[in-house]
Amino acid sequence: MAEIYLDLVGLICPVPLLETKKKFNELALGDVLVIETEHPRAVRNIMDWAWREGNAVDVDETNNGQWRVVLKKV
Amino acid sequence: MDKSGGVLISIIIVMISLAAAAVFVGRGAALAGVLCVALGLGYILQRSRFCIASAYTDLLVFKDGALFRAVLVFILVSSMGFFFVELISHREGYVVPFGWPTVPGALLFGAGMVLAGGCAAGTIMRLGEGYILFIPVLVGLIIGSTLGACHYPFWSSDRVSRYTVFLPDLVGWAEALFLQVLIIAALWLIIKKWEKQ
Repeated sequence: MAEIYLDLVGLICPVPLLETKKKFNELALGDVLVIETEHPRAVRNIMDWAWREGNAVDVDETNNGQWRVVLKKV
Repeated sequence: MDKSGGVLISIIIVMISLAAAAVFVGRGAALAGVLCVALGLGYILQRSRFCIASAYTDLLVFKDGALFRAVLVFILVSSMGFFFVELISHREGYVVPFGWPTVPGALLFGAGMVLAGGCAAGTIMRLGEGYILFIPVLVGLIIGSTLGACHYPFWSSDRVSRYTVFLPDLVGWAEALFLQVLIIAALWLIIKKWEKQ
């Protein structure tokens, strides 16, 4: 169960979700992808996409205006 | 930046806003009302993470039409509101003519919007949020709008902007409302169906 870290700070949508999808395809079942982003719309984008795909997602606001999104491939 | 610094800056911003509101109130209650509506709209825009640029990119790149359908609802509600305003005030309708520049202009705006990461309202909302990355976008907005304003007589001349369409004049008031609702509802359903594929 690997934990992969993706730093998307400073990237504007649609780039965060594109990068997330690319990285997610490379993951094995049970892997966790940790995404750091500053863009609120990107957080929403990733969350909606995860729900549509049926993956588990957890969002945490680490700092004022920074979010950590944890995706688990199920 | 720690949270205590944020509180201080928020207090300063609120004080400046109240001072600006006092100026507006001095100039007339209508303008003060507009300020209140604008503040409310900005708050809703920011809290709901509404984004018109995202509506298009989500639909075309990720096949997610949820935001686009929300924009359709937004357009429907606004146009119905304006419909009743114009019906009651018997105004001829604030209709701006269109012509051949509308299509390349729209394409330019769309491309710029996606590259910048937001449309005009979204940019200003994000600047209010404190998203410094959007300052160059504001500069671009100002430059573009100023250039457009300088050339406005040319763009609004009869040679360029030829077609003025005010639906209630064309088909009647009730028919115009019905047509508007029908078209937007049809778009809504088409998008919903297209998402499922």
